[in-house]
Amino acid sequence: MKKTFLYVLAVIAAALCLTSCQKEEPTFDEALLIGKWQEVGTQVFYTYASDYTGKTWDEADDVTEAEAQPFEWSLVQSTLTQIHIMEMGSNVPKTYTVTQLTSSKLVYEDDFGKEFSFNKVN
Amino acid sequence: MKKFFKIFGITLGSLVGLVLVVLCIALWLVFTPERLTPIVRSQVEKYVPCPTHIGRVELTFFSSFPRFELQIDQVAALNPQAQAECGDTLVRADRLQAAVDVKAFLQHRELRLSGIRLLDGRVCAYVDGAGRANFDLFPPSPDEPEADDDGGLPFGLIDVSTIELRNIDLSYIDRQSGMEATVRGLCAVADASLRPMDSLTVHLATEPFAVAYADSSLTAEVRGLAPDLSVALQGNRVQAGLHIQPQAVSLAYAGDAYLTDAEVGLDLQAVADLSRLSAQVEQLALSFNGLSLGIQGKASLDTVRGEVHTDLTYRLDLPQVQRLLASVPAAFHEYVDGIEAAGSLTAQGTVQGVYNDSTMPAVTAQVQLDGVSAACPDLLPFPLKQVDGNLAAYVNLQRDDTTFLQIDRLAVRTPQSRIALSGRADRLLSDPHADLTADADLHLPELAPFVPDSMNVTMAGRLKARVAARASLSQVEQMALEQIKASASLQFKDLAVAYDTLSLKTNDTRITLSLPNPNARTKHTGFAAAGIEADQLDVALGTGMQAALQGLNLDVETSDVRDTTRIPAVNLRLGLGFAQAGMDSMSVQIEQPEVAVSVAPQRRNAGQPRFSVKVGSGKLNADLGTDRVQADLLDVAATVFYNKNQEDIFLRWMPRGAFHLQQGVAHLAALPYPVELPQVKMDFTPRTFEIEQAGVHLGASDFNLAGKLDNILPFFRGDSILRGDFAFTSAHTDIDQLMALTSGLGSEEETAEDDATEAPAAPPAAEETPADTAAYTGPYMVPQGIDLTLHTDIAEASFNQNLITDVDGDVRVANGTLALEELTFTTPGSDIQLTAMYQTPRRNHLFVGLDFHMMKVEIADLLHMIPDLDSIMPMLRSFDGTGEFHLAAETNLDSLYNLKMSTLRGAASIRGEDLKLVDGETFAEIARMLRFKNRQKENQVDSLTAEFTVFRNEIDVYPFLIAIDRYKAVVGGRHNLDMSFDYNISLVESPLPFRASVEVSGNLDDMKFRLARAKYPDFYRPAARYEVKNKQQELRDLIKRSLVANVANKEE
Repeated sequence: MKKTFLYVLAVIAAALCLTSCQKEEPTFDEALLIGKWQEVGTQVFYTYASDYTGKTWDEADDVTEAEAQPFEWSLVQSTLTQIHIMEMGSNVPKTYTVTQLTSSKLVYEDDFGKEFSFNKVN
Repeated sequence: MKKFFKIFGITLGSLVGLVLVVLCIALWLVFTPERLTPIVRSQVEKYVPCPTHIGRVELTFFSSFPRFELQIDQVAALNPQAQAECGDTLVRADRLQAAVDVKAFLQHRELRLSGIRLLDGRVCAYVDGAGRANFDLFPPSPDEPEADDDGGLPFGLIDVSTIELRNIDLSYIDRQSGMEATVRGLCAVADASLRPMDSLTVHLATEPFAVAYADSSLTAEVRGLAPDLSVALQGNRVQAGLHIQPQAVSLAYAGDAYLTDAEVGLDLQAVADLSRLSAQVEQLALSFNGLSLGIQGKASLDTVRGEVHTDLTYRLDLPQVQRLLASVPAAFHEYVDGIEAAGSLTAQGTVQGVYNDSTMPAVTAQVQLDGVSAACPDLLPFPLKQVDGNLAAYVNLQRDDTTFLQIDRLAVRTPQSRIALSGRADRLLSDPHADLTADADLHLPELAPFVPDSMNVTMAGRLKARVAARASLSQVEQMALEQIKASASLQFKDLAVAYDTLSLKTNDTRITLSLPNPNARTKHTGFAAAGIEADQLDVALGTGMQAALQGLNLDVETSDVRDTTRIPAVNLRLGLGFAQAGMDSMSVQIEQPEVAVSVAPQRRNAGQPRFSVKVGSGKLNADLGTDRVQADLLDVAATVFYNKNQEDIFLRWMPRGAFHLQQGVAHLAALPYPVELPQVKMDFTPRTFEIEQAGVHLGASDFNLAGKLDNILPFFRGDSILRGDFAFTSAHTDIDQLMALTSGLGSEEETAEDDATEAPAAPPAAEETPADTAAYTGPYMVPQGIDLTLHTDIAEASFNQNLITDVDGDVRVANGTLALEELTFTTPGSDIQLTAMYQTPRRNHLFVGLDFHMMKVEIADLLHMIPDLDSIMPMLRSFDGTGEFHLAAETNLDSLYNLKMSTLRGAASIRGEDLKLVDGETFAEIARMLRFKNRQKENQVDSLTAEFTVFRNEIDVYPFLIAIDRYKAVVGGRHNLDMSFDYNISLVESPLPFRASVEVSGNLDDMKFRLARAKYPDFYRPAARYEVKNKQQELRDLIKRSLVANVANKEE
């Protein structure tokens, strides 16, 4: 019994030692996001407007910009949220974590570690 | 006194006796033939410049008292220089007698001759080839002064009471002209008297004799000629009579006999006024082989004006036409060969008026035919029998308006047919105008020879016809049908006509034609009318096609369709008691079909036509071989306004009408059940198409459609959108049966589409090239500019062995969108609401959207109804129980209906209460790793509320809390459309001292489980709830609110 108690204390001690401070979340300037972006290696485009609306289309699927699907976006620190608005009346939210945002480069990843890279095209 | 008479008697007797004695002495002693003959011979030689021969001369008195009669025997005048067939005799007679009334001559200086007789004589006049005549005995002497002729006679009267010729032969031979004429055995008695300048009477009576004439080409002979001539001249008045009994006349010309013993006669009684040059013909009768021509009247000659005035009547009788036909000369027999004629003909009339170089008298004629028959095989294949007629004619060359031909009756019979004609024709000489009526009763086989044999036509039956026409020749030539009046009534009895393989039979058919139409139903259709009535009409083409029509009644009336400047007006009505038609294995039977078609100018636009069509029938049965159609009643009525100025075909034809069908049944080979149409009623106008009722029974299903399609015309004009509002109701719809019935229909098209689907997707850039458009029919494109709504109300529907009830909702096509709007229905497992949308902005960019709500649905039923949901959310298979399911999804498609994955969006929400985990294999592995206390195969789950989204090929399952056993876990993760997944089950409440989780990854065939750090350790933990709510929970709420919003709208 005493031995078992010692084991538990050891585990707690180890756990306490392993506990660290939460990493500080970076902040990106959403002004850099405004514009038209093309996903690297694809014909997928995103545009972000200053009124926090945007649209996306894939020209590989014979979809033009005029036929693009709309979404609303927000960028809080590094969390980019896109709420895609369906014509049937529902919404499809997508959240990403921005890892890089410059005037020409955008990189973010989703909760499952899938990374998306974009280049600004105008 | 007595003494005086005695003395006077003795004296007179003495004187008479003395005279007698003197006469006796003179006759018997002085004027004996022996003394008298030389005296006469010497006197004749003085006055006759040719040699003569006188045999014996005798003078008689007592036998011819009180006249002296001179008798000369064997008298002849000779011309010895002549060389001719006549020899040297010019005139010869056995006896010449003559008597003179001496008393009249002595007392009144009147020469009364009587008893002039020439017996057994011969006169032969001859002209040789040099023109020398044997009768030229008195050559003219130019030095001889003309006699002082004051025109008067030396006697107060010359009276030749009797001149008798007996057995006299006359010959005239002219070798110069080749003419020879002879008279044989002439016996004639003539009486004549002549008073100077004012009176002459002649009467000549003959006994039959023969006359012959011949020249180089013409020969003529008259036998039995016995003319009786009387002429009386009284001043300028001449009365003449000539009677010639019919005798045999023969005439030949150039070797051809024109007359052979023809009976020719003449009877003339006339009075002439020489001063006026006029004649009154009391009777002129000519006869020729039974043909007689009689003329009466007056004719006069106006020498000043050079014209003849006539006022004559005539009559022509031909009692035996065959005799006249037999008189046709042999030279013309070839023209009448085979022609036979009989019967009688009579014609009579007048000739009145003036004849000169420029005018002709007016002629009337009344012709009557009695029992005339004729046969001419070359012209008519049948003989004409019993031709009877009564015709009248009036011809006036100066006034053609008074000229006419009146046919009171003209009837002709053939062996089995009859034709009668009556009427009148005017203006015969300029533009004949006829008003004729014909009645005919024809035996059609008699007319068959008129049809060329090459047509292979056979006919049987009779035709009774009555045809009336009023027209002028110019109208006919110019086809001025608008001015022609005609009517015809034809009745066919037992008609059977066969033309090649086409045959037609009818028992009793009437055909009427009218020009113009006397009973026009409209003001435009007065030009012509026609009608057909038939009790039975059978038509066959070979052995494969046949039609039988009973109670046929067809009426047609029309305007002048030849007038291309105006829209024709035509009305047609066809009614039948029963119609049947068949071709090979197909047949149609229709009871009381009626068709009415009319064409007329539009009231507001006379330059455009308006068509009206009415079609109706009683029971209808059509056997089309493998298919069969039946109906109890069919009525279609339509009025179509045509506008040729419109380019669009719909705008050209503006229909307005109604359609009505009762108890229609279609047995189609492609369907195992008949298609029943109990009632279909609809009205249509250029603006509105309204279906009052359209019911369909098919197998276990029944449908009814009602509603209205509006704004049709403005839509096609581009002025407005097309609006439609229909109600679709059904007591029961067997969807499974309908799908089975329609499966395979149009399989060829489907095969083509399948082939196209399997082919690689065409490049977008090439999708709309003309070549591809021609080769690929493309997807269904929702029409633009229309707004159609179909309100469905299906009481129950069976589908996939499920019974769906209370199906209620709208199907709408509007602005290029096809939508199922809030369609609600109830299944045994759930109440369902469905909204779906299909848009076609362009051919290679289609849109389909779905908004689907299931209330109180069994999870198993949900997966059964939507099998694809198992692929998106495979963990659902692990739950059992009741829940709600809300789904919204949309995507774009290409022209081959392939998903454009980049446009796929979806969101779903599931809410379950009292669920159970039933998937033993998966649950067992999770339970083992998490050391569940209760590892039974069914574990109670208090509640389940989950949301997931679809974005392109990513399906994100938002973290949701489930409570199982002693554990509360948060489940979340991602499922890809390639069926790979990555889930994390984080324990938020458990007996374990640490926040463990299980990660499930891989795919359904190769699942990987491993313990990992809890991914959602703070989710649903009361201490961290606020924080969580600001992130994922907010998104879940957003999804859920948007999904159920439509349900809320429905409830509102």
